[in-house]
Amino acid sequence: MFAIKNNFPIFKAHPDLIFTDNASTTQKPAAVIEAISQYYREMNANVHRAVYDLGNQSDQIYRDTRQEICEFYQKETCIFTHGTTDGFNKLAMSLENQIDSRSNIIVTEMEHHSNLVPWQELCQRTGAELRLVGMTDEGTLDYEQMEKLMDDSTRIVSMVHISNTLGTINDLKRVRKIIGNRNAWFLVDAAQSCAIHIDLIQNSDADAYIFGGHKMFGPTGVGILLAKKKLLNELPPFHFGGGMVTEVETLKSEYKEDVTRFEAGTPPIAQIAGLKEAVRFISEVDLGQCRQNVSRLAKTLRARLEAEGFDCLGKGQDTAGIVSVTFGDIHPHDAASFLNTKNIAVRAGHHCTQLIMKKYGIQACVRFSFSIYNRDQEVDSIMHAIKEMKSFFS
Amino acid sequence: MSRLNKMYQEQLLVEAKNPYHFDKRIDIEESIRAYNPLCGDRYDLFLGEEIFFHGFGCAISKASTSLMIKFLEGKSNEEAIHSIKKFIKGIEGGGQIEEELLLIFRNPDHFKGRHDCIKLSWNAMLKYLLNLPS
Repeated sequence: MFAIKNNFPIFKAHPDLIFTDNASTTQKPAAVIEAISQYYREMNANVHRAVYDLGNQSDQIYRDTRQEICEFYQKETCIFTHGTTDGFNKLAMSLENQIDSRSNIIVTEMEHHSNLVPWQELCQRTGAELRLVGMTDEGTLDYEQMEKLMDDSTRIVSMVHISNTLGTINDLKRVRKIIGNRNAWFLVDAAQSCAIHIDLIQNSDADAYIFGGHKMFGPTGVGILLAKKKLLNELPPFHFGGGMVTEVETLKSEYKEDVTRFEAGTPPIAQIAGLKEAVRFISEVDLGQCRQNVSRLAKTLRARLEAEGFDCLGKGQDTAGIVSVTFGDIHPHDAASFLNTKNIAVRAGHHCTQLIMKKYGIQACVRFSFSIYNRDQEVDSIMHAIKEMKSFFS
Repeated sequence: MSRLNKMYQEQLLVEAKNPYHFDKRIDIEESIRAYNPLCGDRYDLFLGEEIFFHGFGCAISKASTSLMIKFLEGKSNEEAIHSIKKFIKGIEGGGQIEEELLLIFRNPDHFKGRHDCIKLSWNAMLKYLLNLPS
């Protein structure tokens, strides 16, 4: 783990930083930062339109990254978006012509708002019914309820893979079985699994996986929508303009047939260059070891927090390195500010999962989320700071 | 003074633990809500002859609301609008906070990342006052 941390310049700039806000965004390896910088220094040109060498290089990066991402996650194709929220909004807009007032859409109580609000809006526009799969107090999805809620009118099942608040890893294979042969698209919010739970993405069979590059050590501003070709083949383009057309007449236009019909305008090329390096970086890391580490860190922290009498959300089964906790009378923002003075970066709030907050009857909580550069001794530092915090606010 | 003690001065913590007029006065008809959707902080301000408040929030927003209620006592609506605007400007770095009661907030740099907590109820109160029929 020590060697991995050395790849991240942020820890050279802030040697004492304990960064446990990885569910929000991950830090960037030097290779990713350098790829973005090098792109602007040595290659900057627009894609699609240039015939000169620099433009060809940009085209090459744009094409190669798409291919490398598909190969890495073992999916048929992908389109570039601007992030998870953007990906779901685009899907919710473009699937509208497949939804009517007889349809229902299934989401879960664990959803991040990015995979909830777009479907609420779609249902309001079309009159379709939004059905919510609940979860147990332990933070496990109620798969039996999902079976009951699903019927022949279900057109979309859109669910979170790993809860950004609870760390619960949902069983995508089981959900695929529940969907069976129904005429429903299976869409997955992979924002928390795209970095180190690659195997679960590779070995599951959803129609689309949506995530942002910055969750997987890549840059902000670029996201990925991995998809089966049969899904994209049925979707109309989301955005219109340059780069996605073949023939333009006065009153109408014809669109490209390949995936670039979904990528109108100039794409975030420098970020895509950074994303390419992020994929290479992840592919060189021992992900099995990383998964064990983040899981161990989260389980250890949870056990020690509970031993101090604090309430952790859920039961931490299959934890993916995420622990959310409330500190009694100490408000989450006060806790986060206190921890900040000890160089511990955490997130406080509802984490864009207000349904989970309502489930547990709280307004907000503090979330610790670990990644590949966190170490065991950081849990000791966190617990030491928390004991100090308890005394400070008492 | 440490970073921590600059933000959480003793007076602020005392104010947050013993907030002024912290009472759910549902007998008062007029009420407004101060709500921060990012963190879930939510206070109801009950606006009768005196102002009371109740709800959930951090030490900083609670102390700030408590002090605001003390500070606005006896002020006309016009005076309150002027004072609130001045305070908010001070927090945003556009002016000085000189009123003795509010001196714990005189250095906004000590509250980096928490300005919204300080301003939560002040903004709600200002919006209410500005929308009153003249």
